[in-house]
Amino acid sequence: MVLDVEGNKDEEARPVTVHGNNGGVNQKWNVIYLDKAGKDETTGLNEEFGFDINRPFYIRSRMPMKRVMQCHGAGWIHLNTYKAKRLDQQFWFDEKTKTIHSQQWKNYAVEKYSNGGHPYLRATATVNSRWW
Amino acid sequence: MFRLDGSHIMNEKGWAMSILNNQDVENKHITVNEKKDGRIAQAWDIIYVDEWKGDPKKGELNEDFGLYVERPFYIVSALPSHRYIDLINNKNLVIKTPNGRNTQVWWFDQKSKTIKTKLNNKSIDI
Repeated sequence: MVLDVEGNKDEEARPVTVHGNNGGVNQKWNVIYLDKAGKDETTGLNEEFGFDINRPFYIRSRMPMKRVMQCHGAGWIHLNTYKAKRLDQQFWFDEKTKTIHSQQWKNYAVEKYSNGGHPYLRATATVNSRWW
Repeated sequence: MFRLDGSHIMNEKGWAMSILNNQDVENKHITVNEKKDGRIAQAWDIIYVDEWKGDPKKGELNEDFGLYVERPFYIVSALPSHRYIDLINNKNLVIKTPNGRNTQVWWFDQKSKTIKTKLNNKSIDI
């Protein structure tokens, strides 16, 4: 029997249980001693996710008009024409939660709406690095 | 969580951020409901704010479209007579011998990303 993240779901406060070994990634762990643990990076590229940490960016479509993503009232994310210095068109990558955040509403992260059950993308304050 | 995978932004289920109905228009929702495919509606560039050059201004080259912004030009046929595209009846395009009229002069509009006639600033359309 091994320690197992219940349901193989990488979400905040997910229970850890004991289960038969199945080789799943939800049963794999790293032990990191405090004297070897590094501090969270605050700058530079997160190679796994492909984003620079804490560095604001635009997400620009390759469609002909080259529009960018824009948060609308800390809710839906739409495609809109770029406008200089609009913070609701800027995003940043949070190393701690591994999520993309709005620059306008800094505690709002990008997620798939309705706990992943709806196709639309939105920015929300409730996201906790959920697996969807 | 989303990862950048080339020009795609993918979630943990392998779904890609995409533009709803593949329509390049204002206020279209961004969705995450499709597997990665070759459609340009799923293709994105991450451009850091400190590297954003902004849109090209008047006289500067728009590299995506290959045209200088608001810099008047003729469109010349490669056929042996090298005639110019001309606007007739205020709506149809034809090739004609150069005549010095504004109906043969065009310019690229950065805002609409279209080619416009100098005659009345209407865009070329299909």
